[in-house]
Amino acid sequence: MADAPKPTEKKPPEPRELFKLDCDRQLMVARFTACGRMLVAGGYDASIRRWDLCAEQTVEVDRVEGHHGWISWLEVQPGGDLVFSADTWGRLQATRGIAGTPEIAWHHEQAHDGWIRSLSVSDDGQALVTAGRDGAVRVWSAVDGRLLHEVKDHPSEVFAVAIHPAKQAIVTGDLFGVLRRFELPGGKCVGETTLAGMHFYKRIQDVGGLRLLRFHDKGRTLICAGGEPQATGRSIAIPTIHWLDWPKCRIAHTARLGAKNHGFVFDLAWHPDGFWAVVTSGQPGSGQFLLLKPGQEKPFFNSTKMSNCHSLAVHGDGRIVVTASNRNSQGNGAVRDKRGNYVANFSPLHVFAPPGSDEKPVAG
Amino acid sequence: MNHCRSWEHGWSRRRMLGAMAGGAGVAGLGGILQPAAAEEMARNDKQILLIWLDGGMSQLESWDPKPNTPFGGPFRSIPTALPGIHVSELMPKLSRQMKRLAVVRSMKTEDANHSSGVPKILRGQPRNRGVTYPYLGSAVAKLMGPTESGLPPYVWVKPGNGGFIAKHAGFLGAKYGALALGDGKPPANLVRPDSISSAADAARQELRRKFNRQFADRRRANFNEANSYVYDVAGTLMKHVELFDEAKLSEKDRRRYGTHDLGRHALLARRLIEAGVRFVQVTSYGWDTHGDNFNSHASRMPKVDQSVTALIEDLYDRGLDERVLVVMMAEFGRTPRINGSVGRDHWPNAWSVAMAGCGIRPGTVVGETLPDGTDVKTTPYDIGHMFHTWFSAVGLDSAEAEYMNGTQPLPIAHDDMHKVDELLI
Repeated sequence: MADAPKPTEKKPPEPRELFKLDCDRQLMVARFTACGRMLVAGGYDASIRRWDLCAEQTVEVDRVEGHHGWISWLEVQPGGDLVFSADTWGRLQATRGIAGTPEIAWHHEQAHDGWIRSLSVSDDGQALVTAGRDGAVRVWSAVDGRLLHEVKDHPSEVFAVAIHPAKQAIVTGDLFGVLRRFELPGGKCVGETTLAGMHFYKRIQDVGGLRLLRFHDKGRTLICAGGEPQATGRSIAIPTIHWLDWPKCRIAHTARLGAKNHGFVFDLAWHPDGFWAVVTSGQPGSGQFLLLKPGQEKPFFNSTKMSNCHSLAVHGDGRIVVTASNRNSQGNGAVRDKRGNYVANFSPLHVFAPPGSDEKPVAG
Repeated sequence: MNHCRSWEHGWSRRRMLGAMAGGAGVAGLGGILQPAAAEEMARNDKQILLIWLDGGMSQLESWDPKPNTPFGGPFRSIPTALPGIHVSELMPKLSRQMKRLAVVRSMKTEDANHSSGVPKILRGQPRNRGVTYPYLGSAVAKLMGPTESGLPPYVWVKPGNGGFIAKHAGFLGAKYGALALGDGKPPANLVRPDSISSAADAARQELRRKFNRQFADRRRANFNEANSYVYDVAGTLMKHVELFDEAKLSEKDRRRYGTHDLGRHALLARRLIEAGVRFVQVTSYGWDTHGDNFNSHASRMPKVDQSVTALIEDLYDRGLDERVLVVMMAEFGRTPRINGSVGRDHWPNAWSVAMAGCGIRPGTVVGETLPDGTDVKTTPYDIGHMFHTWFSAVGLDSAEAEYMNGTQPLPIAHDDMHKVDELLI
């Protein structure tokens, strides 16, 4: 008996890379401004880098200086004009007019004592929360930088923080994979949940796996992303995302996105076409750009062409930008370029059209 | 074509005497120098404690920070007790100890691989003469012998398994190997069971020695010497079982050193040194931070900061700084360039070593790297320079002392290198 013809499995549309932007330094985070005109990014050179997307050809324009160390986090004000940036030396800054002539609206040179690990802005754009290596979690007025609330002496090192859209709670994720819910105002800890697997200890090193917290769906879902570390000293972890039912604080769904060499989820964003865009970075050269539908465990798109992806952002028009690392970024000893110089690595920015778009790659 | 130097052929009276001493197999210090020097060395009460950060600690996240430079990383630097000198913010406690420390920021070595780099550094990378040189601990065990305590001269406190590690001794012979205490635990069955009386135990030991002598008659001396030595070491340790009784540790000490492996092992090292072990090495593994270097160091460095500070404080408080040399190092540093995995790779080109105590000039920073940390700016120093310096610090004249490998005299440190006078009192 002849086999019945198999139904043709329609391959879901994939994002297409349109063009690539160059950045001579390594980036940690990239975002589109609320108006959509500018791509802003921060990283190892402590300056806010800007690319004007409305110019005839996308070009980098003047940087915004003022930070030190690395820019560790950067977010834009929803529906507003401010860009909030934090660095590893403790400076928190709000920059106005970043799409035109930027000026610093306010800043705190020592918002934290040292590395600001995470920054989250409320949905209404009026408040932001920061968490630092100093064990403090602070809520600030986005408008003028006033300190509104503070959780002092967090019992462990915070890696990630998020503010609930209703501004009634903040949630922290620490080095040991523990989630803590704090009431606002007051800052009282009202609950703890341990995400098993998001911490690893060996050879005097704690490896934290809970690196990113994000509220979604009007605060009904809390996304806890990072990885399940398997070793110390190297980025050996299985990239993992947990979706938590926030009112119950229970894991509703988990996706493990790769093998242990793929490392950690470094960034994610919800795409208006109804899927999650995720980037991961693991061992040198190992990066993933994934698209994942809600409730699914396997991505419908997975590109490993880019090396060590560290950030992504979704533009209002659906385009996605992914910051990656240059190839062959690793090497023992004094690896030199063709001219004999010992050069820093850098972060190409890959701009993709959303899946299903018929936009063509830009030549050259 | 290899050109022999005069050194290989020179056959001074001193070397002749050394060769004779070696041939005669003088107990303990046989094989080095004249008997008079050997006796002098036996009276030497100097000791060495090596903290080995296996895999390669980053100099940029420790002794030689370059904040706000292209390769500087995310951390700040902080001032130290030494005016004008800054270290990484990850070492606040050690920063306050800087007047007791000496740091070399201009280490420049050759090997960027672990497998070959570790033995080269621990052997002092002498010139290749076709022999396998001993690790520093074995060298000291040979050159200085046990202290009057009679405790084994080379004890290695390490995570994982223990045992007797003969290969560290190289050409010196197995007995100069390391007695490794896995996780700081004593060798298994160290304590005589109650069911065996002291007299019965002595009779058993005598029987063992008799069998050993019979066995040795038909075999190479080195092998049997090492075999007997291990038993003798166990016997010596049996008299010091309190060293391994953690219940006797004060809560204050546990807290000061830390309850993590490095803290526990550093505290044991202090106790071993106090008890009279000539050379103690404490190893911490996992420093090969090719990925996630900064989170790794953020987690690791505070533990180093805590336990090494406690150690330095105790050595000074107890007056041991005058007889104990402490060295902290790895096989290399880490690249200034940060890879895509947010890690740093292997970097022998410009890294740092720290030391304190016996013979070392406190509050010294030797050498300088370029502003971006990519090379040594001042006179570079290799591990051979450090071996000369450390030997000199504990009273060994490395320009004169020699090993005897059979009839072959060998320098104890690289003969093209020299001690670094700036580091020495």
